[in-house]
Amino acid sequence: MKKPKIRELREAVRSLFSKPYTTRFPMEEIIVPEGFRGKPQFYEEGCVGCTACAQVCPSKAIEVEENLDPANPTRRLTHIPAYCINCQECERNCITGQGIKLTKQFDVSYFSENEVNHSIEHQIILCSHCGGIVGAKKHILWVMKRLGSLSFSQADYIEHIQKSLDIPAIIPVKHEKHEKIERDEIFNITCPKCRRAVYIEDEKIHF
Amino acid sequence: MKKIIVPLGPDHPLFEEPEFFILHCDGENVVDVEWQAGYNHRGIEKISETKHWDQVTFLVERICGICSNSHPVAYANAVENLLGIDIPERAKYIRTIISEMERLHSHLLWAGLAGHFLGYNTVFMWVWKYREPLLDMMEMLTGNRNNYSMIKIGGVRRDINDEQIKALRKTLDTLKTQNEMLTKVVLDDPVLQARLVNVGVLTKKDIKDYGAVGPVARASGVDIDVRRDNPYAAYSFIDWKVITRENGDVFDKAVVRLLECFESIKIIQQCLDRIENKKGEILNEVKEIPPGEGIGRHEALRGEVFHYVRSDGTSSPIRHKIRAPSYVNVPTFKKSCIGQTISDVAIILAGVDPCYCCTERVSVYDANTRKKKNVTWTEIVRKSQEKTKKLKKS
Repeated sequence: MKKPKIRELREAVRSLFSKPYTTRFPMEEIIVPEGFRGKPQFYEEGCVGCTACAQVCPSKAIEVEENLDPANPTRRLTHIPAYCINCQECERNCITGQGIKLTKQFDVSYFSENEVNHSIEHQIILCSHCGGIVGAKKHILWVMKRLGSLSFSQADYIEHIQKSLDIPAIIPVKHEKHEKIERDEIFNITCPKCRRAVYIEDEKIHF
Repeated sequence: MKKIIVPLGPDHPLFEEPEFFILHCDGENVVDVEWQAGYNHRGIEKISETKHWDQVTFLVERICGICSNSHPVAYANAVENLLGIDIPERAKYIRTIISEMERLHSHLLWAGLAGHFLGYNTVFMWVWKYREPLLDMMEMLTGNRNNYSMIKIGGVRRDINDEQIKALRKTLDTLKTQNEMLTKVVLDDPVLQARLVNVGVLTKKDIKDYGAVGPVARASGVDIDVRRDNPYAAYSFIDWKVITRENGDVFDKAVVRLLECFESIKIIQQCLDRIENKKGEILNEVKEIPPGEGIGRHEALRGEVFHYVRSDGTSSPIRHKIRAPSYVNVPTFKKSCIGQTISDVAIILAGVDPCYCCTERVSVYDANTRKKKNVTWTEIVRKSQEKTKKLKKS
């Protein structure tokens, strides 16, 4: 049994004179490799507030809160690291590709949740008839930009473009509220459900 | 003679997970073993029915911390079987690389733990040191040391570039020399031989009776391996062999695992040769899952893992059945522990490399007394017959 002992002794001596394999983590910074999946982060420039990330998240780590106050309707997307599994699905499914990205941050220890939960707020547009959600303002503008000249086919979008160019609305809009939706509502901003009702269930046409 | 009952668990420093063993002892010798599970039940199969097809991949990844690539591969195999599609060649190689790296790190982890259970803490320290660069490589390739999130239905989520291939080759070369040294140390050591040889023997017949799989079966001379018998990913394109041993004791289980590490290194190196300096598709985009059913198998680190999915054309599975290797491997304790001393039981239990969180399926609680109940087979049969009666009446 002489030979095996020498072999192990060599490894032991090598271990004795080499520096410790472990890192002094809290004192020493750890450099993680490129492509490390850390904590996700929202980016103001890229995020349009479409909530695609919240829909694909396997662990429901992105919370969507909607404030339907007609004076200032908003949508808040909050990322909760306690639920997050860092799977990168949000980044992969982001419609702009720039809205949410994974950072290299791996230590998310905290005393209170507010220290780490971070959120992004978006203005949303409500339906002028039923008060339901049409979409985030930035999202609609993004869709319009992608559609190009095709976006002029929709009355809502024309009004948006006029507003964004500081042109007052050319089409006079009636502000009378009807119990049942009427044809002239198509020139207002309506949610898909109401717009469908205008076209299909118009009071003048009965199926 | 009076029997002594030694409870092991549910929270025992030896185990990584909560589980409960009751050893019936006659003096030092174990006469009977009882196993109680259910401390780790999370209802994964049921949660799976509420998730989207793509999200289930991340759910099954979390069944077990060590097999976090095995379950997604088996699940993806099952869904691809349902769809009847093939995945791109490059994706096949990447799946194989990640699977084999996982096997390497798990077998090394097992070797370290076995050393620790035997009182050889030097082995534990060395092996876990050798394993560390491998985990760093995993972090580089997949973005995390564990829970790799590499598998997607129809391919893989990330590509491997040439720089990473170079780094991986270097790591594997170092690991090979270290593993050679380690294997020789384990095989030559007289104390280890005295502790492991002829301990916890499982014969070929026992394996077939219990239906055990993986390294446990291969150590007893049963030549089964899903990678060869039912090839998936890139295993059929590559030259490798299945390691088997004849005796079926803990020593042979250790030998099988250590030698499988060399095979894994060989497989990874061949895969790297095929994908180096090449570009290709890594994903076949899947739009929707039609109604149907599919099965997927994968040779996980501990044996064959089996997934069954059924679709009704909606966005989530209506049934998802999982069978993990420990489900069939753990009952072999009943055979291997009996007649051994209490001090040997620890290494015999560890020899199977049991994973209880994979195995947890059902636990019955009495709502009135708030106590856990053990359900016998006759009771289950009775319940099943009662249900039929009820259905007949209505």
